[in-house]
Amino acid sequence: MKIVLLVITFVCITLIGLMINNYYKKRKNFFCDICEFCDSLKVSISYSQNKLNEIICDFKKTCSKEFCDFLASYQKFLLSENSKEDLQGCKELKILSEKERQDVFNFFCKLGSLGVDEEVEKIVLNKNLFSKTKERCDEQQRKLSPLYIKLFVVLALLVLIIFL
Amino acid sequence: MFDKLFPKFFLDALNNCPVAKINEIRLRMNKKVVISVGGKSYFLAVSGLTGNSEKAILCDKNLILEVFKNACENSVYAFSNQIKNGFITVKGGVRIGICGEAVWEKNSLKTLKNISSLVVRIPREVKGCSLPILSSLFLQSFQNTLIVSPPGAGKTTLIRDIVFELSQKNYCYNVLLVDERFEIANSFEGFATLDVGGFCDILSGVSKNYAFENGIRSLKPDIIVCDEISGERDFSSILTASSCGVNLLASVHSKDLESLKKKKDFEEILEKKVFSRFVVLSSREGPGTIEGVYDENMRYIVQ
Repeated sequence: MKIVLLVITFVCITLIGLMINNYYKKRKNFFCDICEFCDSLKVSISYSQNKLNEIICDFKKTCSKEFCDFLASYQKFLLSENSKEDLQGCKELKILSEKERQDVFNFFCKLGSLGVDEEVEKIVLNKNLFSKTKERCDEQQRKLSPLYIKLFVVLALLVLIIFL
Repeated sequence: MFDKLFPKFFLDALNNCPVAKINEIRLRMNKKVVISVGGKSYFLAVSGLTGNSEKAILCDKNLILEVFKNACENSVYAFSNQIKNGFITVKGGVRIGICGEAVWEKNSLKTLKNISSLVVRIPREVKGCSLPILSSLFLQSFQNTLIVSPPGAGKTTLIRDIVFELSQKNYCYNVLLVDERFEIANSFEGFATLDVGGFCDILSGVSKNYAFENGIRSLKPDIIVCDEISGERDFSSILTASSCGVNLLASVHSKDLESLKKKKDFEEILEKKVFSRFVVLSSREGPGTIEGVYDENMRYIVQ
């Protein structure tokens, strides 16, 4: 019985490490996707001038689940009689910090409100901002993810050794 | 048609009106909403149409912005060129005229800001409305035809029906439809949402000048159709097309033939007898009243 409990504890502690790893991975993927989305917007707006909803529908086919879910809630916001506060609700992305959430909010709530040149200019500026965050997330994932996995495996082993 | 355009409270009020008969909805900042039904104007109240302005819905800035945002489908950039020209066309051929402050850049109009009024005009498909005059537009073959009409008298509806009937009656003309303002066929995502028959190539959102020059070369049309010719450039395109042996069907804003004769820059077209048929429309007995069909010498053919 004791061994079974210890194995469960070992697995749980290791899973916490994996979850932290997953958290960093999701953050990185989110910002990778948002940068790619900015590129896609830039091309579509300056060339074919597709409408925002069409661009989003196309992009949703290729992006990560987190970003896809975010875009889906953003589409709902676009289609309903919303105030900016409603977008706040749809962008409750727990993997982002408050500042990152605010940046994403500021970008999306004003998207599509300008002419072609101004819109492209704004997208480029925002992409630069998101690229910096993406680089930071990438670095965090490279440094912290393996560290947390190792740390929690060691912790799990320690628990095993102590209680055996 | 209005579902994606107006907020819910406005739709509820509209649902108490004879929606199918609405021609026009006028939204003016801080003024009462006015609706035109069958050529007559009413105020819009929560309970429907009213003559009492006190009961009418007040149009505030938020309503105008909401309708504008919805009309642009949150993609103002996709409508930049239309906004510069003072209108937006949405799905179903609904044309929204825009009033606001002009923003200029290097001697050209960049956009309109601080939008103060919107005029929502609803197109009507009246199948068969061209039948009473259709045969008079032929003399062995289709004759160059100009529809002369004041605004709101049904010239676009008539043009659309003529194009439709040409294919219905199997005339087998290749028609090039120059739909500069997306009003005639209202192409949406590449498909005509209003019925223009099966022999029609549609060039949407392009200037007449471009369409005439490139369309004749690349699409080899038998008839070129366009709406609302105005200004020297349009008239020059018409002259070019007529000299290329292509038939024309066009419309022009004018009260009657006398006013047309006085129209600036139009003398050359009349002198050269580019058009051999003039169809005069009015709103005398409601939009689409045909006042008469005239030949190149402006003599009655059909009244």
